[in-house]
Amino acid sequence: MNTDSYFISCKTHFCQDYALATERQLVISDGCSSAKHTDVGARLFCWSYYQVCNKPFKSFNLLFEVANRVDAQRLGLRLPKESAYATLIGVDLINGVSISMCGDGVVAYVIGRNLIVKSFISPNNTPYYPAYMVDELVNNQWVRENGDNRVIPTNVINDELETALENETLSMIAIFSDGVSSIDGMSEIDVVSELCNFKTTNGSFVERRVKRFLKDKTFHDDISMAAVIF
Amino acid sequence: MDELQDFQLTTSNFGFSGVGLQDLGASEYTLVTIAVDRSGSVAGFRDELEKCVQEVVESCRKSPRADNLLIRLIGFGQNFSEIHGFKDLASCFTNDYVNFLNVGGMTALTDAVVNGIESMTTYGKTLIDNDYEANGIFVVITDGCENNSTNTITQASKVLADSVNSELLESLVTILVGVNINDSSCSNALSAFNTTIGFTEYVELSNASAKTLAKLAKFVSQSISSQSKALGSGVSGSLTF
Repeated sequence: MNTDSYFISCKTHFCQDYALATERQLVISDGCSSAKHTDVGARLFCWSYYQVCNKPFKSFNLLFEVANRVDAQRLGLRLPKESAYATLIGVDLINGVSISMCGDGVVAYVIGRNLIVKSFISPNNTPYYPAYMVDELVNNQWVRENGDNRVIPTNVINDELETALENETLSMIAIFSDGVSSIDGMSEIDVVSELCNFKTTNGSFVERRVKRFLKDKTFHDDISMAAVIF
Repeated sequence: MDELQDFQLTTSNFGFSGVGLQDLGASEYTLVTIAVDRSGSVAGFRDELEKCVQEVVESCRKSPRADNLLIRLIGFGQNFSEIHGFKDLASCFTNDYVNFLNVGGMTALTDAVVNGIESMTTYGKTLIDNDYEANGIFVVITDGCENNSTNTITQASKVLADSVNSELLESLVTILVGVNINDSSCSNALSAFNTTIGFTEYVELSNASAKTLAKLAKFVSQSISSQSKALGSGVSGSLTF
């Protein structure tokens, strides 16, 4: 098994995406572009997920625990609450496979010879950031406006991945921020397919693929990606 | 130590060796080739030349770009030979660079230049085809003129031009170093060799003292570091002797 991650700024602003890959998890976070210091928030979310995800939490509870930790760290740094407005996609690789998502982004995986791509778009272009979980006022307002679909349900995907892992047909999982839909002249599915077309899978395989693919592309949002090869 | 794989060149019977892709973890590499004269005339300062190579390798090991360097060492005397193929610095040990110059014979300088450039271009293409970024730096250290190659100087010039024009490597810096050049005919011949082939830089040293070769080692390692730092920018690293 090999994991790797990479994130890149679209160059029109300071990068507000962050990505992390370790032997036991993948995680990416996309900071809200209209809020200040979300580059810090995105990092706090990734590293907090790294700390928390080996605990026996599942989905909502795990995300809630991560949000609590980020809130505490944010307060310690005296950052405004908006700095924690960042999405989160985490893949726990410790006991099988389990994906947790809050906000928006893309998940792709290969079972057998098929690349399956699942894109999650926020309602009304207003992602539910996990930081809202620890802010009752904002949380209630978001639910009023968008309904109670705060945490993206990943149980079906997780069941599919678990089965494929047991059957040894799962060969790759990749997660992306929504920046993959910001590339001129290419559909999101084509971008994801290209980014998953690894020439080699050792070492910094995600970094190599992202850099090469984006070399002659124009993109309008930060892009983060993390992947595991089984 | 990583196993080196053999690679063939389409234009020559001589190939080269290098680390297989499965052992290359970084996203970008600077390919470094050092070609060292081992003709009979370097016998008087063989130890200093070897020390120079040791110092270059040691300096590269301390570079912040150490993980992004792949070094190949070739020697040329009566004929050309590979001392070791492209490998990472973790696999280059100081003791490997003691008594490695088997001195004797004439100077197959042009053959070394042709193989050095073709090998970097071919290996670089292999890396680039597999999503790695790559540039190169080729350093040739000689004390004399070409007198025993199969390839002609015109062929060497074409090989370098083709490599640059192919744009396979992001950039390629080539440095010809003449050491212990203390007669004008040799100086003129090397200068003409440099001009015809089109090296990026020609450095001429009038002696081969320990101090001079230590300065050369510093220059070479700084040039390697500069070229490696330039990777990704599309330009070559700057050089100053």
